[in-house]
Amino acid sequence: MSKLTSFDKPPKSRAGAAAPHQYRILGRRVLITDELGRWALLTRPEYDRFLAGLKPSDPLWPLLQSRGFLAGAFDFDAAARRQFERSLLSWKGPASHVILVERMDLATARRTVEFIFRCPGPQLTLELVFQDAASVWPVLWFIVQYARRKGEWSRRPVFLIARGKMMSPDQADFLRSHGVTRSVILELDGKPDMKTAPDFRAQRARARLKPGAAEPRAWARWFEKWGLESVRLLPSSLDEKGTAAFLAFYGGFLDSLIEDGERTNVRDEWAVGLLGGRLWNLPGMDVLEQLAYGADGRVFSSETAATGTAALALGTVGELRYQDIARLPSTSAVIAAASPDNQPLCSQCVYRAYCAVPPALNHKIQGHVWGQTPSSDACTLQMGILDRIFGRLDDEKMLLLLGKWCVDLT
Amino acid sequence: MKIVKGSVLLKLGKPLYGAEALAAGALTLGTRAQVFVDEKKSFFSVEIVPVVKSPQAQALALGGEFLNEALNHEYRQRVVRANAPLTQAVFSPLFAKGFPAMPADPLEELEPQVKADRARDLEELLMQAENMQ
Repeated sequence: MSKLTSFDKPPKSRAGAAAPHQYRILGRRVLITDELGRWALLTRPEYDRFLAGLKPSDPLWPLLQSRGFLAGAFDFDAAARRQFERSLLSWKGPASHVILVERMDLATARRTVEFIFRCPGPQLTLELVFQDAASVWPVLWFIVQYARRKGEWSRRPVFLIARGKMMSPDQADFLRSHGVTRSVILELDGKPDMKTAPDFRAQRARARLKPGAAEPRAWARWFEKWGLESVRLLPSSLDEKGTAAFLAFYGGFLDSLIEDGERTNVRDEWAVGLLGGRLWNLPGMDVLEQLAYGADGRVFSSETAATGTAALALGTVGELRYQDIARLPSTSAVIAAASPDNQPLCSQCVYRAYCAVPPALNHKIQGHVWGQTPSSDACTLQMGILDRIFGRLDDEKMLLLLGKWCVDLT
Repeated sequence: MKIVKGSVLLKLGKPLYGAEALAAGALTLGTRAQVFVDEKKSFFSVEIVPVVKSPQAQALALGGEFLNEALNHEYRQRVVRANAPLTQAVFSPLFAKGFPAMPADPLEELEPQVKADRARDLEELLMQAENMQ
C-alpha cells in the first residue's frame, strides 16, 4: 500500500489554474506544498475551487497567490530566489561535528579540532559524545579549550555540546563557564515522576521511548519542570510497532507543547530540524549537515555511519583534507541518495521540501545508502511526524510556537 | 514466482527489467543466496538458490526481496534520469568547485608572531591536558 494519499473521486481541474504542487490528505483537509517549501492547508471544497481556477475575488486568492500556488499569477523571480537559497548552491559546509571522545588520545583530538575548523561554515557546532566524563576528562577539557580558542581566532560562533554521563560539580562548572550545553540521553518509561528531581542538570535531551512510555503530556511538563530546553524523542525501535507507538506519543507531546506554548521553554528538535526546509538543516544528514570523528581519527559521513558502517568512512584527520571530501565516491553516493529528487517516493511526496532520510540510516536499517522508501520505517516515522506538525498548522498557537523556535514558515 | 527443489524461479520481462536492476536485486540478498541469470531475447530467467536450505516461505521471502529491490532500482533510475537536468545543475558546480576549505588565517600570515603565540598557547594547553592524565 502506498504511503501517499489519493482521492476516491479525483477533483476536476482546469489546465493552467494551479501551479505545480504536491498534495496530501490530512483528515478532512488537504495539504498542498510546492518544491520550494511553500504550503497551504485547505478544506476539500477549497481544494476543488483551487484546481478549478480561482477568481481574484475569491477569499483564497490572496493567500494562494502570495504563496505561489496560482499559475496565472506566479512570481518567477521570488521562486528563483527561494530555489537558490534552498539549493545546495547555497550550502556552506557541514555545521555539525560529532566527536566520539571515548578512547581518543590528545594528538587525535588536536588534529580533529583542526580539521573541523577547516570547514568553511559561518558557525560550527561541536558535539562531544562520551560514556562517562570522568574517564575522558583531559581530552574533553582540551577540546573545549582549543575549540573556544579556534573560534575566537577565526571569529566564528562555536557551539559546544557535551553528551554523556554526568560529571563532578567542578567539571560541570568548567563546562558551564565555557558555554558548553549539556545533553543527556534518557529512556522514558511509564509515567514521569514529577516530584523527585532527576540526578542531572542539562539543557538538551535525547529521549528514547521504551515500550511502556505513556502520558506524553505529563512528560512534556516534566521536561519543562526540570529545565530541559530542547528535546529529541526517539523510538524504542525502528520497526512497525516502535514507529506506531512513537508517533502516537509524539502527537500527544506536540499537542502539549502547543497548548502550553506561551509558558513552555521546551523545543521539539524534530520540528525545528525538519521545518528548516533545507537538506543541510536535517539533523544527521550525511556530509551536508554532519560529519563525525571516531576515536582513532577516522572521519565519517555522520554519527550514524560512525557507529554503524565502515563503508562511509571518508578518511583520517591529519591525512584527509577537507577539500578532498568532494572527490570521494562515498560523498557523491550519499549526496545523490540524500536528494529527494532522486528518490521515487520522495519525488512525489508532499514533504519533499522538508524531509529526507539520511543515507547512513538507510544503510543501517536497509543495507544500502539509497534505501527503499516504500518499506522504510525511517520514512514512515518522518512522514508521521510531519503529518502531525502540518496537521496543526492552521492553529494560531502552533504558528506562535514555531515563531518562538525561530522557524519561519511564512 | 515458482519454487522448484528449494530454489526460486522467476521470469522477468525485458522492457521493464534491465541487467542492472537484477544485479541490484542480487546484491540485496548478499551472501544469503546465489542468483543465476539466463538472458533470452525478450526476458530474463532468474534462479535464486538459498545458501542454506530453507522452508518454502523463506525462499518466497527471498524472491520477494529480490523483486522489490530490482523494481525499486529500475524505478529509481527512471526518476534520476527524469530529474537529471535539475539535479545536475545543482550537483555539478558543487562537485566541480569542491568543498573549499577555510583559507589560512590572514592575521597569522601577516604577523608571524601571532602564529608563534598561538602555537605556544596550544602547546601549553596540551601540556596541561597531559598533566591531568
